Amino acid sequence: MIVSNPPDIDPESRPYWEFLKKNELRLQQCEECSRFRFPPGPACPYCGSSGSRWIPVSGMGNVYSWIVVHHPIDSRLKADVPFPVVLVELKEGPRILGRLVGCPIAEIKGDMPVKGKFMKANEALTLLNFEPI
Amino acid sequence: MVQDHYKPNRSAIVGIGSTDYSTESGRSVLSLAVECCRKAVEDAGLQAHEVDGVLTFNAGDSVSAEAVANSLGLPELNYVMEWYAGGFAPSALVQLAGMLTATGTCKSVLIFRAMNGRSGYRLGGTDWSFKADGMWQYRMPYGYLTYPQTMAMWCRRHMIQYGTTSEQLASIAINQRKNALFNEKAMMKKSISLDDYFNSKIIVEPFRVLDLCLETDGGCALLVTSAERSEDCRRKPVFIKAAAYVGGPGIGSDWADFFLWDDLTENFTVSLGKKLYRQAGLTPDDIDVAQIYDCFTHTVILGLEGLGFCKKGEGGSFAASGETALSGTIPVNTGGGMLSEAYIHGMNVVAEAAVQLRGMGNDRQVQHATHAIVTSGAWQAGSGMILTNEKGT
Repeated sequence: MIVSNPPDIDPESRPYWEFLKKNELRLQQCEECSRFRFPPGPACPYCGSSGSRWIPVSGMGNVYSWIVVHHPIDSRLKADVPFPVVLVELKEGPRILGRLVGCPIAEIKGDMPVKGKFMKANEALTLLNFEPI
Repeated sequence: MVQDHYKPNRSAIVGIGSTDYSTESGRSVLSLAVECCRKAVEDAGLQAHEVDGVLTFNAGDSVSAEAVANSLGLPELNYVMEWYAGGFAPSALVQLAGMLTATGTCKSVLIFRAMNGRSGYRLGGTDWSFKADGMWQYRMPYGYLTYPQTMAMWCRRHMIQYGTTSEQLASIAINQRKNALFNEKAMMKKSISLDDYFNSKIIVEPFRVLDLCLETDGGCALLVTSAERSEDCRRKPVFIKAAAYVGGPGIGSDWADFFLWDDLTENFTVSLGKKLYRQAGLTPDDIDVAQIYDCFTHTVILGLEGLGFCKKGEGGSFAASGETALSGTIPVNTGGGMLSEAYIHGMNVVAEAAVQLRGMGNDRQVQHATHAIVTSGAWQAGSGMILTNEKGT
């Protein structure tokens, strides 16, 4: 897998990426309403409260939707196409994006169960992909 | 609720102007912007000194409102606005122009969008590489880079949940191309068949190239004034009967940030439609023609359902049934839309609504068109209007 555009990490996102580097998936949980949120942010999009903690989550979920990229847009991705990208609804609530690996394109189905799979891109970056359960 | 006090028809679109739409203008964006604005003022039969507001939006690919005012020689400015915004902006800016003129803040206000969208900065085009910052950091590292991929994700969910098909998407592209053949301004001049659709290149499943809007060099402008002043203008006024912007909950932090949007089988048009119909005191049955923002074929399906022209989940079959053709019960995107006329980021979509209500649609004119609905935007947020050529109150 080619990573053409690595994340430009900011203060809000740093913990997320740092945990991934340690092969841990953690999401922010609101200290007030207890809802998990993704993407990371300075306040809870559900109740507006600013307190949060980073809690480990399962990485288990279902494919809410999916696409197969044929035109690479960034020419550095030419060797990778066609590749599927899935929008996964995690068991804990939030939706998150990743590549789907270990599944032929013809076998992708809406709502299929998947689990997170860490993909070490380099020493500084680990991404979260998904694979069928 | 604010809308319950809404007073319709206080302002009107009185001028429409556009440049040629091409893939290579060979001109500066400023000259395109000035040309379409000047034409809109002339079309209205007004003089430069009667224009004192200029509004525009862009994606870092255009010129400022001030630069255009300067080139037009406007002697006095009472309002300007430049919005870093996408296709959700055109109706919202016409709405703002309506407020500015109805309150007497401005006499008349230009709204324009101009860009070299093909020969210059290509929004989401190949090698459109920018930093994976903000929300993009959770998308771009996975090769999920741009807007066609975003709407493809919305479309796939609709397919999963409602069985929407590629043939239904094709019917939208084909219908709008038919309409474009009656529009002398349209960039696309050749009809397309179902085979052409299925033979067109797959960009991102489930989208082929014919599901995507065009890329255009050009400019489009509208001129808005108060209902009172509109009576002195050259053309039949097109009154703003209802106008609204909607967004959220779950609007996201940027245009493509749908992580918090609960249901990807419906977009902003659901809440937009409710607001517009309430303001106007109308129902979908009262609408004669619809201009639905069409950056992609699927956006039309979301609009048909959201605005209540068919039931939720049935937008695909409704479009394929022929009801949205010029001869159907609710003609949609009569000028060819952004799939086949031009991609001026939705300004041309609004302009076509006004053309129809003036009765100036030539061979694509919808007979006896009194009420038109228009949307601006595709995702979590957007704007829209109900326009009419009936003065009324």
